[in-house]
Amino acid sequence: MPDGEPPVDTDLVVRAQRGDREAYGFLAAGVADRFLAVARRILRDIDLAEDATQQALVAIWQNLPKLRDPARFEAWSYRLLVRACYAEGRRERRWAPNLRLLPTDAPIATDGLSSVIDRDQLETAFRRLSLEHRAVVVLHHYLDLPLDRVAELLGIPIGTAASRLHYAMRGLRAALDADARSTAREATR
Amino acid sequence: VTTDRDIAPLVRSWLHDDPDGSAERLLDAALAIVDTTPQRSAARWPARRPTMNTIVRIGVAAAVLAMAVALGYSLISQNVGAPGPEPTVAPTPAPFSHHAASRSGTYVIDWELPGRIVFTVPTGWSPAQNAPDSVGVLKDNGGAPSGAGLGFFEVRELLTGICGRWMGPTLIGPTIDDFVDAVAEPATSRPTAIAGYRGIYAEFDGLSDLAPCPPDRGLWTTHGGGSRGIFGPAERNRVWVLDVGGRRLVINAFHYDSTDSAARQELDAMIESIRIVP
Repeated sequence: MPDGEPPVDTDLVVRAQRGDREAYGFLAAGVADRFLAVARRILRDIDLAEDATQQALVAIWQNLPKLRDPARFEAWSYRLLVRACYAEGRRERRWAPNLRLLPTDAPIATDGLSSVIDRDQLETAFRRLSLEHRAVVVLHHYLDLPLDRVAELLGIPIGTAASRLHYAMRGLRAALDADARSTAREATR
Repeated sequence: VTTDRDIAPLVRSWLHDDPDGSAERLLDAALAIVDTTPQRSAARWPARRPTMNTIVRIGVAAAVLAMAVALGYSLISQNVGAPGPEPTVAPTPAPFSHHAASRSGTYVIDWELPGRIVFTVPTGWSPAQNAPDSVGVLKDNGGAPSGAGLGFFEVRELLTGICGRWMGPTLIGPTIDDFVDAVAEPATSRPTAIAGYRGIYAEFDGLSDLAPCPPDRGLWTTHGGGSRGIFGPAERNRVWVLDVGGRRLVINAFHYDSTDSAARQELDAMIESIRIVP
């Protein structure tokens, strides 16, 4: 499904649906690395991502007989992965203390992001997004899926996907602007 | 101030530059779990399966043959011309199973509930595909325009949104109110009790147009891997949500506006027959 990914062998899917564990082993091996990469980007935590990926792989096995159309395996399996990410992420949120105050000042102009953005700032801003917003961003900007495919994969209307992407990007931008503003203020003291 | 267009390449680059790890270790762990984990049946309640697999077909054929032999033996051993006995309900309810419930009679559902559910199935109803904690019977396979159904569930999660399953699962709290608040038309809710177990009765209607929905649409899933599918448009649903010794039992009856009165009466009679015995 994502660009550059070989298509999944539907014969393997059909065999796995019938309980063939060897076939499922091949299927799982073919998607596991990509699943982990997606989960890691959504959750921003390798341990949580591994747990979510493992849960998803088991859930896919359990529910494979319910998949009506083997050709839709990839979209269907990604949907289970994202659900597992939501579950793991919410588990994290219950335990994670909120240590950082969000900036509340109005946005100010900057002379370009390149001078103030580094990976840590983007990481911090991204972590402020909800899991649902992160998922849309990752599927669209990392897997390069068009929004209609993102919507299909997540099982949401395309308008909702577009809205989530818009607000996610706006949230990222606002957070980065605020960080930049904060940095500038520190520099002038 | 930056714009979405400014930030998109940055986000894209940042995501792609993130280091990737190998999933080899977790894959081994996942497949070890898979080795000991059974797959869930494709069947849901009420599930439509246009064809029977070979094993089921052989089983049904064997059951029909056994019934034919037994019936033939019974006819031969009776005095010809003597009035036959009136059909009676078996004094001991038969355990509910997919094959057993193909015949009318009184059945018991042996779950790990504090009480056992007993109910009487009339002629012409067939068992739905069942999971350990979702059991049901259907008239005309549950489909519109003439179908109807009665099922018992321990609901774990709702399948929310216009198309149910399509929109993803939502875990709900464990109480009766959690379930009723989530699904029912508020005006229809009222206290109820069955066999001394208290609960809430409520009603809700299904989607009138299922066309935009995929075939695996549904209403809820159970702890044991069962689920409540949607058979047809505009289902009229009634639910009795009971606290059975701390367990939430959902009894769900449905029909369509076009379901004939005889089927509705049979459905009501089945509901009336429900007992929960120690």
